Amino acid sequence: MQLRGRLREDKGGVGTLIAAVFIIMIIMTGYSLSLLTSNKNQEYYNTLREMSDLDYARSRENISIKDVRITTNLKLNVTAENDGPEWAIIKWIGLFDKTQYPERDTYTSVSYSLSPGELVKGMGSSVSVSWGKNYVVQLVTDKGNAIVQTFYPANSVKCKLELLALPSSVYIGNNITVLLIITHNQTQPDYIQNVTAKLTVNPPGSVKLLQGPQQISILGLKSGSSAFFKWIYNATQTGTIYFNASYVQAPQGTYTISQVVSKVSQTPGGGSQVTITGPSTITSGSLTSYTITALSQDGSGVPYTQITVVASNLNVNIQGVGGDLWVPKGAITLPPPPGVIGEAGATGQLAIQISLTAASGTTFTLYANCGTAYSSMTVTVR
Amino acid sequence: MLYAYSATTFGTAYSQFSDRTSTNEDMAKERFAVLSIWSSTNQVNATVMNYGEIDIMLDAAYLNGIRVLSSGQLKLSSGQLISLKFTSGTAIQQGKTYVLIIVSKRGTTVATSWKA
Repeated sequence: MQLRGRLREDKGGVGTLIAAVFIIMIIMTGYSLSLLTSNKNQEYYNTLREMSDLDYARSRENISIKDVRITTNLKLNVTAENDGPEWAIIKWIGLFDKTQYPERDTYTSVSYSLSPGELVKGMGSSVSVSWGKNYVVQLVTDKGNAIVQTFYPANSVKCKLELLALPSSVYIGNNITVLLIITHNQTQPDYIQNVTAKLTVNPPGSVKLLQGPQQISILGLKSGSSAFFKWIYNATQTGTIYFNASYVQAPQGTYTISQVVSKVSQTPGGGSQVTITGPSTITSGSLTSYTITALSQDGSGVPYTQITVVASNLNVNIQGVGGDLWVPKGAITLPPPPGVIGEAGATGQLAIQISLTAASGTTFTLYANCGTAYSSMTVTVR
Repeated sequence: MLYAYSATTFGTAYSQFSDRTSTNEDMAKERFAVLSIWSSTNQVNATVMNYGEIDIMLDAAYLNGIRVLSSGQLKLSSGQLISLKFTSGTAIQQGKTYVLIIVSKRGTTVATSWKA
């Protein structure tokens, strides 16, 4: 009996123990799964946070295309700036050829990193392009943002032209400055591939080109911006000069041509410019060279340029020695002052030599005139 | 018996939860954008970029509500582009605005408005 009783008690204890173990195992299993669930949840929320950060960064990305050009080896040259607060990576460059039908698009894989505020030039050096096609250029970032700019040739854009000829009326021999402003005032395209200024003068021989624009072609003219061109001409004959401006491949129409008139007249008195160059001091008893540059406006040689020396009680010897339009008169010795020693017609230079014997500090005046224009120089003997 | 029942119940519940969460997580990682759309008559070309953190399968495309693409899941790896070419049911009219909706296999949709 005792034995049975102990056995029953022992069995009851073991059963309780086993039940407790199973309950603990069930609880631990539940707890483990609860931990796993919690971890999985955490992973999910981490992913949501990461993607939310990505979306936020994407929304703050701000890339702008500053310039689009075609290089000499027919590659694309894009300048872009990161105006946003985030780093940006250009992952693809898309190029759409709108001149083809159906249009053709190509995407080239690239990798350009732009820090905030950074300007990167020369993007697209592996993208081949041709002149004269209507292109759309697209930069695609690794965050999926796309920046698009249109890039057309000049024949698709009606630019605004402004032409100035200054002064509007000049005397013969004066310079005329011609300014041409080509403004891309259309909303499309964003860039003109190439703008080459064109200026014609009528009658062609009425002016002589002294200086042309440093750059006759502007690459990548942006919408809203202007290109400036300057020419300097010298008026060589009287009459009305017409300047007509346009640009290469400009669409037909009067809006592409601007005409401006400059009137050239003869200077009253014939001469407009005469200058004397040479030393202001000479050595007594030795020959000293001077050059007189004269401009006679009527082109006929009349009136002549005259060289005169005004000197009192001095024996001044003046002789012409050359010059492209010199009419030799031979040497002349003054006094009596004043004296004419040479003549020149039209535009040209006169080379003269002067000698005199005088005390140091003696002065005399060299005087040259071309019609009513004159120039003088006071010379002192050393 | 009780333990076996509990373990099975807990395991099944966790498995279902895990699968559902993984699907949601993968869906959350999906990002794609339509970079460009152009057309000629009724042929439409759309370039799609996957900028998300996971590969995606493009499942369908709808143009103005009409299903135009159901080629059976085009794979698009992360960071890559794909050109979708499809035929519109009606001729594309120049100047008219269309809405293109692209759906991934996981159910992400991207709608893009486009003026022909």
